[in-house]
Amino acid sequence: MRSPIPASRLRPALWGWATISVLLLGAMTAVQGFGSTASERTFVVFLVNVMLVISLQVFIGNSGVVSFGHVAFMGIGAYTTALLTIPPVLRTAQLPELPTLLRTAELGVVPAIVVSAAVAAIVAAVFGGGVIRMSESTMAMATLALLVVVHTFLQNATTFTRGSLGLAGVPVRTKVEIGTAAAILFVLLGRLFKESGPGLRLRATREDSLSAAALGTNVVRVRYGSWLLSAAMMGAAGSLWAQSVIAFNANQFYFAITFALLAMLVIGGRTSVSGAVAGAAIITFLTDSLARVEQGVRVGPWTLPRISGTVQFAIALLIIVTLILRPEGLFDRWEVDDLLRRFVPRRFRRQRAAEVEAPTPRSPDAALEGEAPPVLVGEGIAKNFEGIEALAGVEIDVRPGEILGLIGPNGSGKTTLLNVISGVSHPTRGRIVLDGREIAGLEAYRIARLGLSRTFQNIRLFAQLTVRENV
Amino acid sequence: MTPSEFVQQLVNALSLGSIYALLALGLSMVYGVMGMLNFAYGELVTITGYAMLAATSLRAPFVVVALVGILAAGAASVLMELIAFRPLRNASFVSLLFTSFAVAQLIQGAFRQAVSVRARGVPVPDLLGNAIQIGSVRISVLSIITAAIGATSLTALTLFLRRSRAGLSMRAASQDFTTARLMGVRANGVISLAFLISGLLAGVAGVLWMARTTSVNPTTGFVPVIEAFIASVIGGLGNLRGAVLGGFFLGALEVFLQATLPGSLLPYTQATALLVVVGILYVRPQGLFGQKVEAI
Repeated sequence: MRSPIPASRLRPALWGWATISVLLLGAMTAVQGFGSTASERTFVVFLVNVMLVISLQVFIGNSGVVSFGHVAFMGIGAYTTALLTIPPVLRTAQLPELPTLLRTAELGVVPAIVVSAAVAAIVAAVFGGGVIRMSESTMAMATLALLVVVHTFLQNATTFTRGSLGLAGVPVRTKVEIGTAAAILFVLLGRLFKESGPGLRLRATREDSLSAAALGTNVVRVRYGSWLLSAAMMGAAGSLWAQSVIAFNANQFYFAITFALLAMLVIGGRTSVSGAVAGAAIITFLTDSLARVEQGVRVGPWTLPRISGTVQFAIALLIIVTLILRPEGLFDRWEVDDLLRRFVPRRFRRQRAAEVEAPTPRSPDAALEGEAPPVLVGEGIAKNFEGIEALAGVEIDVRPGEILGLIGPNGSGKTTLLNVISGVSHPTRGRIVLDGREIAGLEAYRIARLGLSRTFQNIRLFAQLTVRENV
Repeated sequence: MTPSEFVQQLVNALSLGSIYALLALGLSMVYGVMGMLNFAYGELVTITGYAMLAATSLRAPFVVVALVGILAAGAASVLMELIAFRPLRNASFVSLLFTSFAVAQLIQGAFRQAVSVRARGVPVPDLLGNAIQIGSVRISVLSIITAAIGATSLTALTLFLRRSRAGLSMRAASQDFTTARLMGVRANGVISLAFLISGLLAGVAGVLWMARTTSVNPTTGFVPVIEAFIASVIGGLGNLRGAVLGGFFLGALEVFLQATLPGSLLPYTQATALLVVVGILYVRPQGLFGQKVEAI
């Protein structure tokens, strides 16, 4: 399944990653060199937001399915970390009824992150097994249900979480350096997944899941894979988040943050990893400056009145304006490397054309020599649509190299036959054999993997993918 | 459970169910016509609450207060579509979803600024707090009134959809919007109408909701929109009859869980109901009452 990423996608991805990394490192140096403690704190908030949004982007951006439930994984990661890192004395003082196993465990940064990611992934695996097959609107509801269920649990399982009273004392380890390093790693992970084979296939399902399946993508499997990866990343990010704040409670993993994270994703451009970083930067900066306004700001001789709740208001306005002006977000489907390429003068670019070798055409005569046995055999194929016999007793043989025409008047069942053979729909009766294997009743993507593919009458392209990615 | 307890719970289930049915129907109606999930739908309930509050402060009688609440929700729904959703008419499902999410936040923010973060009491007539004794069965007046108003509104809506020309175009548009337009249904008209009906339904449900909770705060709309969402998904999104059945199913499920869960698990009532619903959707992804099989 894990195909290596071809150089044509890997090289720009690494360039894009390097650009973002340099920007992040530059910002880090600037903050450390000239910034105050307050700006260091804001910078860490920004870094954690980058991680959270990229985790979200891995699933939502690539699959096109909205999840309202990812903050649940963040909460699970945060509490797992809290239970494994708060110094035992502090821990038993806050949670006297903890089981013995959880009383003494004390993990370092990396193990805590790994365990948090694993716990989140396990929950995601159990829940996702149920919901990942659903259509996008049902899935939106189901993930919302996940958020509510986990929130109810975190709030009421006071033995472990102290509910809305919250926990304090997680060692503050997500400082500027660790945060920057982690954020850079998240950017790399998000981008590599996007460009990987499963990532590309997932993006194809986002545009047209029927067509992607006909071309050999197991829609459920790639969605599930990205769901797990994104939940694990969310758990890890939640762990780093917990290690950046002094105290937190169950109500912090609910709607406010879900809204903020989705806002970052939408404003930056949900299909773009660079966009996720930009979105995190914009919203963090906006939230931070407005939070200061809410405290009451002195502008020259005037003191602005204290206004509360402006942050949420401003974010909501920003989302609406962005969606009206740039429906796919600031970065749309582009990454920072795509933008850089436009500015790089032509002569510095490498000759790309040479890389693309024309495939050596196979001589069709070789296959046609003699009476080769048929590769595709259909016997007695029948398809009924609730009493209407669309196909009855179709016999078909296709030999290698043969170009076979299928003609008939409108409604005679040409498309139905193609649908049945390619597995888009299943035959009511009959056998279809490809290379000696029975394929009647197999899923479309399996048939495509066996080497049988189809095109559609009205050409179905993946609108948001580039020409090269479509091919 | 004794027979009289059973009757009481049945009335409770019918009354909660009819609120959910109204809510789900309003949400589903817009989904059917426009293919959008209106997340700001819950805010219509909030708007009903604040409108009722404003009307009460003018010392209007309760019937007038309720009517003001319902009309305010209807007007707000139509305005919402005109201002926020119309510029994005052909945007993707996700963009529309996010826009409505943002609209919900804007409205919440506006109430937070304009009124208060705290909950404000919405006075309801004392009559609604009473209960009637029939034999060994005690039934609250509110439940009976809720169920009756729910049934009346649903009947009125059914008649409108089946008998009137506008109703016919609504039904056509919710089945196939493009074809309906080709047959001469005006897109803007039918969408505005869908939002109007959706808002009025939210208003009726909102008045009943206020009668139950007797207070309103900026985030009041959160629970109603979630319940509406769940009920209409169980019923098969966009399927109007399904939405009503889904609403009653959800009401019955919650009342049943409330009555049977042991005390220590009561905080988990809503969560359990949600898990049951997700379990149902696992077996039937198209919803309990949906006909259309959605391919993945």
